[in-house]
Amino acid sequence: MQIFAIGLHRNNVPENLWYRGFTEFQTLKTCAEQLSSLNIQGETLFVNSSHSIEVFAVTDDEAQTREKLEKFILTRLNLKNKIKDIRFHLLEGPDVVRHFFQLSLGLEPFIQDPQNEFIENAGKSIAIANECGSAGHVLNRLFQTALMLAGKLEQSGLSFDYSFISKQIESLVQKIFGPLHSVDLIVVGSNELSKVVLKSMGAESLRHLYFLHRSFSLISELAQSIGGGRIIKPDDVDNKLANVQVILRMNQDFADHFIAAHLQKVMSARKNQPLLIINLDTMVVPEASLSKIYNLFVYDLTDFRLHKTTKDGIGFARELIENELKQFFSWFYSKEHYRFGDIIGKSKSMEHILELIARISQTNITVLIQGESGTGKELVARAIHENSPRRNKPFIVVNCGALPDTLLESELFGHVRGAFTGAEFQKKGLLEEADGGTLMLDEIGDTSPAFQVKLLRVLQQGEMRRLGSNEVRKIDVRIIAATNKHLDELVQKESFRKDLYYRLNVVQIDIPLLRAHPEDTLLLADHFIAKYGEKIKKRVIGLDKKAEELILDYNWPGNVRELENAIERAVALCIGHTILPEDLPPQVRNFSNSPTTFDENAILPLKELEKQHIARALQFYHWDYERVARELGIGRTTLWRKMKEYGIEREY
Amino acid sequence: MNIPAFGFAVLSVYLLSAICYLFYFILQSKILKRISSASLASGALLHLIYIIMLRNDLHRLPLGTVYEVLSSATFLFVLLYLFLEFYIKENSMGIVIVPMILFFLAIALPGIDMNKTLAPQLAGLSFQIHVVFMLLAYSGFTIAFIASVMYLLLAREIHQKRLGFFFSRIPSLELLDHLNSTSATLGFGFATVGMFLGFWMGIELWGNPFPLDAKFISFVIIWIVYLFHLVARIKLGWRGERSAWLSVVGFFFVLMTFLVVSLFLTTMHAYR
Repeated sequence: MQIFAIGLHRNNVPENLWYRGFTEFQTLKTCAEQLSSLNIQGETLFVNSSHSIEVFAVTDDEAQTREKLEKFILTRLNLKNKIKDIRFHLLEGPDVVRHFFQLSLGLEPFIQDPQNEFIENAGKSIAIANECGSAGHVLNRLFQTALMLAGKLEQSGLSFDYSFISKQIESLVQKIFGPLHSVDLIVVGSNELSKVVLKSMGAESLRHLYFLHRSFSLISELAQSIGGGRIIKPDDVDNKLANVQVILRMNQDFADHFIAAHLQKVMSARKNQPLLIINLDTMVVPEASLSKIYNLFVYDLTDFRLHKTTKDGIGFARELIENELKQFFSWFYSKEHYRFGDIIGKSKSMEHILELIARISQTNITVLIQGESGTGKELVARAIHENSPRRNKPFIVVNCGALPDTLLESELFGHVRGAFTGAEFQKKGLLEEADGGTLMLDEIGDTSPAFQVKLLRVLQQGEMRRLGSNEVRKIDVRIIAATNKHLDELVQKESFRKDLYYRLNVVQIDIPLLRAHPEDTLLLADHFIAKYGEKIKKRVIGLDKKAEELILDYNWPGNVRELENAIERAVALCIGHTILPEDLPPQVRNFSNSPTTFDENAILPLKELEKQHIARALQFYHWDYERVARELGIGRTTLWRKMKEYGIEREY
Repeated sequence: MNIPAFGFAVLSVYLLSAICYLFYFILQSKILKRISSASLASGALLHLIYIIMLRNDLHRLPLGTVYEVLSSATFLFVLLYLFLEFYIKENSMGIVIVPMILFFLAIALPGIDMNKTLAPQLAGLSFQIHVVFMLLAYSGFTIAFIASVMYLLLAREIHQKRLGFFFSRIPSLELLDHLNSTSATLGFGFATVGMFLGFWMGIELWGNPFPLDAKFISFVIIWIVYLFHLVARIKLGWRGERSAWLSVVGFFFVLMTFLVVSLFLTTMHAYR
């Protein structure tokens, strides 16, 4: 399996075609649908941004996939037969992943804000791709890791300081043309830098400030926020270019005016008055043939120095990327593709949970995990902790349901000496123990309203008091609450405080029942087989075909925990290298025979069900009334009565 | 008072001033900017007193020998530069100009001979006007040259995108170009007037306005270069770098004329 990316950079497409291509560009959704209809064996993800379109792919058959994808991009941009010799850029292996990460962190092609459009677009794309089924676990994982990286970078507080660049622009302009009040400047197009650059270079003190843009609304908004400047008409371009001293190019608008041949004309029209062109397009790497023109100065974004903090930020981001790259590939080449920490799954619902974990783990927000018992709430909580900046601090789990109120309070808050009978020593509470780390409150739905009030105080104020003490302590703990009850229902019944519910439920992760994502069942089973096989030093390679069927048929009321126990038992019991049906617990083994497996369109009245069940049981045990009565758990006379009632008779 | 000793005092003040300008160029502090200007102005004042003393002693303007001319020329040059400094509020050119002043004066002062008697034609008013105009022209060309060198240095840094040492210490390209063009044009004006005065004197002295004289020929070359400087700017749009290069070329001929031709070749202009 290989990972590669194919893309078309805006530099390599004539500007007008690029724009037309994008206006004719259909929505992401149709794109993803068409992409999935290409019948590519493997995963694909289409991401567009203002400077390129890219398709990331994971496949075994690279050559063929490439060809299909190239064709796809050309049709999508409506470029077919319009340009000869299209230069796609192609990346393979680690370069793809690095490329993806760098784009996500805003390090390509120039340094941008970490909250850039690429990761936003990729998020939209992956959601749609998951819907269409074209993205799989590798690309999902890629995106999740990128999300996490972006979060880490944001959390680190490193800033990308652009006003530093605009100060340099200001002094450059002054060094060439003298004080700003004698300088005319034109802004062509706009991008995310326009506002900050113009403001911090003191654009309001310019003699004349002009704006030129394809989109009038965008530019008038910019002009308003700067508080000055005139918007000029596109047919006045050449006249203005011949008269201003400085041109700030924010994007590729009017690109045909900035090629060497045309600029020669402009220069002679202005009688070789010096002209300074500054390219601040964050997306396009400009070509370096313009500086030969007499009295023309050309500067690009990359020619300006970066502020030290910005430089540090970039170094930090690159380090993050390289680390994550190694981890990604050790995961990619390992056999545990469906594993994220201890969480295993390839179903959409699990991918969704993994993405949520990636999104929220870098923050400090409170999370509410809801799921039936045995679905793995603690694993999810632990994964959030392990991926957060708190990973080196404690992760503590408290089961609120298991303890009486007073005990729970003293556990959580601690107490001073003599706070209550039996409090002979002072004791630190778990909230304090978990300071700087994460505290998981399991079974939060089982707590009393009195306790809930105290907890709410902790959550809102970030402070607590030991029992019997007046001293208020500040604590920094991330709270993850978990419950197997539906808290919203409890709130309606008023057994759970509404305010605490809203405070906890900032982000809710719903873990589905195991039977709701059956595609993960065998994956989990294999995982547990390996786990317990290793534990008891027994070579078990897998499940027998029949056993597999049984496992898939069973409804697993105890969810993953039940599955794990069943497999542990089976591994211990099995004689050969495969697990046979006999090794499975009886409830699993007999499940397919039990009357609860019905098809959905035949939900029968209970009486009818009972009749069929008794008849089947009689047949199964060859009309051995004694045995049937015992297995059904009823008396012989009751069996007789029911047989009479339902008219069940033995046929000879 | 001993005139040569006073001349030495003038030199020392200029030396002090040159050091001030050097420190200002490196450190770029406001207080040093004022100190450097003030030191140059006081140097100029002493220089003026020196020239007046010399005039009283010689009973004529000190324009009789090449050394006297050099000293007077330097004084005019300092005045012109001080005026410019005041006008553009920029001191950074001093780093080049003041050492130059120091250099010329160091050549001139030891050569001034208090007992030298002159040929009568060198004491006439028209001759003195001719010399003063020529000196003003040379001063203009010199300032144009310095502005041009600075322009070229700065433009090079800007083109190479390494905004470093000169970038923060030199006035803007626009100003330098303006300075170059203004000084060159002024210099050209003075040169033209001075040259016509020269023709008139040539008729008076030798009966021929265009004697085949090394100094005359080399000055005509200078005049043509600066004429082209002027025309190219207006007609061909040669501004900025090309204009700066023309000033550099022009100044090369100025140096040749003023130093080499005057000091080493035998011409009718040799003050003998």
